[in-house]
Amino acid sequence: MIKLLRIDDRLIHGQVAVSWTSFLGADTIVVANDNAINDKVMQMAFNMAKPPQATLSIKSLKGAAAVINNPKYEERTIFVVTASTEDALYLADNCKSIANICLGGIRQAPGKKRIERQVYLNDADIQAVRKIHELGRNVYLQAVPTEKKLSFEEIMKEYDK
Amino acid sequence: MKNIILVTHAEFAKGIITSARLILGTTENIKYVSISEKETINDVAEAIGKIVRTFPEKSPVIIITDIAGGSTTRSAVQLMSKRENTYVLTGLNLGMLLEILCADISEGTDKETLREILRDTVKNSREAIQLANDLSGETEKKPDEDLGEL
Repeated sequence: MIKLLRIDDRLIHGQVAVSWTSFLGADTIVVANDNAINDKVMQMAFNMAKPPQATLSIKSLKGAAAVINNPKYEERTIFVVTASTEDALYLADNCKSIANICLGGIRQAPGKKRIERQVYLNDADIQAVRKIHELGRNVYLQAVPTEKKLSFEEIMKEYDK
Repeated sequence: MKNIILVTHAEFAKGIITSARLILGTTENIKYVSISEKETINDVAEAIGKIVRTFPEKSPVIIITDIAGGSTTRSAVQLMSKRENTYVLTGLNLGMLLEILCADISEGTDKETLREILRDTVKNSREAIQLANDLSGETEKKPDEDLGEL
C-alpha cells in the first residue's frame, strides 16, 4: 500500500526521512526523480540518510509509477518522495493508489510565496496542487509529523493572502 | 505529551534542543540538565529528580545522556533504579532525539511496548553511525534498469 507521497525538494535528507519513515511505519521508500537515477553522489547520500530498517529504491518518475502500480508490492508499506509538485501530479495522475499527498519541504526561491515555515509555492505549484485535489486525492501540507496539517483549502487561503 | 530529559556535560543538551527545533518546528516538552565540574553524581541525580517530580506520577520518563559510563549516565541510572517506568538511553545524538520525539509514545503506552520502541531507537541510532567512504559501493546496481521492480 502507498502510505504517503511526500514532496520535498531535498528528496530524502537526514532525520526528516527517519521521522517520517518511523511515523508512517514504512518498510519501503521510493524516490521518484529523473535526476537522481543518474547521480551517484545523490544516491550515496540517500543511502546514508535512509533509516536502516527500510528498503530504498531510486527510480525515474516512470519507473516509480510502474513500481507503485506493480501488484507484487501491495503488501509493502511504501513511502514515496518527489522533489516537486509537478512530479507529484505526474504520479497522482498515473497511480490511483496514491491517496495522500503531503507538501513537506519546498524551499524559498524567487517568485515563491511563503505558505509555512518550510514550504514556499508559486503559481505553477498551486496549479499542480489544485489538479491533484481535483483528481480526488487528499493533498495537504505538513512539514514534520509532529506539526499540525494545513488542508488544501488552508493552503489556497494562505497563498491568496 | 512525552516526558524527556537530556543530561549532558555543559551546554550540549541546550544546543541539541535547538537543532531538533530547527527540524521539527516545535520540540514540545524537553527538559535538560547541564552538568559542570562542580556537581557530584548525587547532585546531578537530585537535579534530574527535581524535574521528574514535575511530571505526572508513574508516567513514563525517558532520560537521554551524552556518554555511557559518564557521571551524566550514572546519575540517570541512579534515578532509574528508584523510579518505575523510567528509561535511560546513552549516546545522545540528533537522530536518536528526533526518533524519540516522533515516536508513538504517550502516558498510556504500556511498559513492554515502550521498551520495544526504545530498543529499536537504540538499534537504529547505532546503525546510523557510518563511515561515508565505505558506502559508495552500495549503489552499484544501476537504478531504474528494471522498470516496475524495486
